[in-house]
Amino acid sequence: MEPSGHSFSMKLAPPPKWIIGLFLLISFMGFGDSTYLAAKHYLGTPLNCSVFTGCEDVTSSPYATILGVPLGVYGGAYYLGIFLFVIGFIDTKNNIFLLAAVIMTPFGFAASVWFVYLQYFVLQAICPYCMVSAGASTLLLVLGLLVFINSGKREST
Amino acid sequence: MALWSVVLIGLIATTFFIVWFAASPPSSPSPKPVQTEPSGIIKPSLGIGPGDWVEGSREARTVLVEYSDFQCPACRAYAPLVKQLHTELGDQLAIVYRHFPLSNIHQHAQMAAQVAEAAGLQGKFWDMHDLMFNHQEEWSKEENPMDLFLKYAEELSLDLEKFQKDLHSQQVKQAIRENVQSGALLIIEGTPTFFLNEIKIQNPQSYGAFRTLILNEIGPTP
Repeated sequence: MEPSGHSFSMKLAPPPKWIIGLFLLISFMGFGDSTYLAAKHYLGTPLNCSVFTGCEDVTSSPYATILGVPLGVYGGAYYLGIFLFVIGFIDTKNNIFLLAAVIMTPFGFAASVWFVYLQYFVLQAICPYCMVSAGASTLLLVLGLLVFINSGKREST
Repeated sequence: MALWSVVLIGLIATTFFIVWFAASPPSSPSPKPVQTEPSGIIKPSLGIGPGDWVEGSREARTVLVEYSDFQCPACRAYAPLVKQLHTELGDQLAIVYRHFPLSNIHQHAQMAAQVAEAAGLQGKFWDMHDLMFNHQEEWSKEENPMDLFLKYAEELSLDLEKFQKDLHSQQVKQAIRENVQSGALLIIEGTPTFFLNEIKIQNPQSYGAFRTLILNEIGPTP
């Protein structure tokens, strides 16, 4: 009997190139956004977002760090992980890399839902950079679902 | 292999660019009144604004603006010196306090600023300012200093219901945000940072040095 991950990866049909391209683009944008937030935190300078309100309220709140590490670092690692897995898939054509990237997306989405809830209902302030990240993780989840849907279609044809 | 090399170089370059971009001064306009120098450079006003907390006379010709953080030990060290300047010089010197909470290193700095602003809405900003610095060691060590903040509010006989409501109000947060943004435009690198008649000064090392600096600016009394 094969390990379940391997047998599953065999079933995952290669998605269209545009899905892979979007996976790369969005995870790269998410990485950039998160890195910017993390850099701002460690540099100790306020975010450049005066047209919006709430940046400082959000980024200076107790929810902006976990174990003393800013959320931007966790977010950056998450998007970088997805980005590198997709690169791994492009390089080797091994579906296990794509599967790893797809499996990560619900976790990022769940985290984003929680952080958007905190912004809206607890802090009552919105940080647009955090919302960009929430948007990116949502799109990545959608792309992950598309990979599965596409895989199902290929199998049935 | 070539693909991974390109990806690695691209990621490193992107990270460097983002850090460089994050470190560059903000270009957005300040919500504080701005003034334009002959060179055309816009800078935030270091004059006294309507929302500023001022000790001494607002009409004083000599204005000392302090950007400070209630959880910063150096700010606490300077607090009695600034208080002594006010006691000695009275209305000859306007002392302006502006918030610049360094939230990334001081967990409770933002909330402490909100506490002082909320007390200010009941006319007790400076009393709370003094309590914050006098008890800094006490509340800054707490995981959740809110009970202590409420105790201070009680000590000042504040209307606690209004205080707690104001504490999280947009009005209070906006006041702090405006201070922070004006400080960011002035490229403040740490706290406390003092501006004497709009000129950034090196933090004096003693009360005597501070007093001399101020007296030189005030000039001879008639």
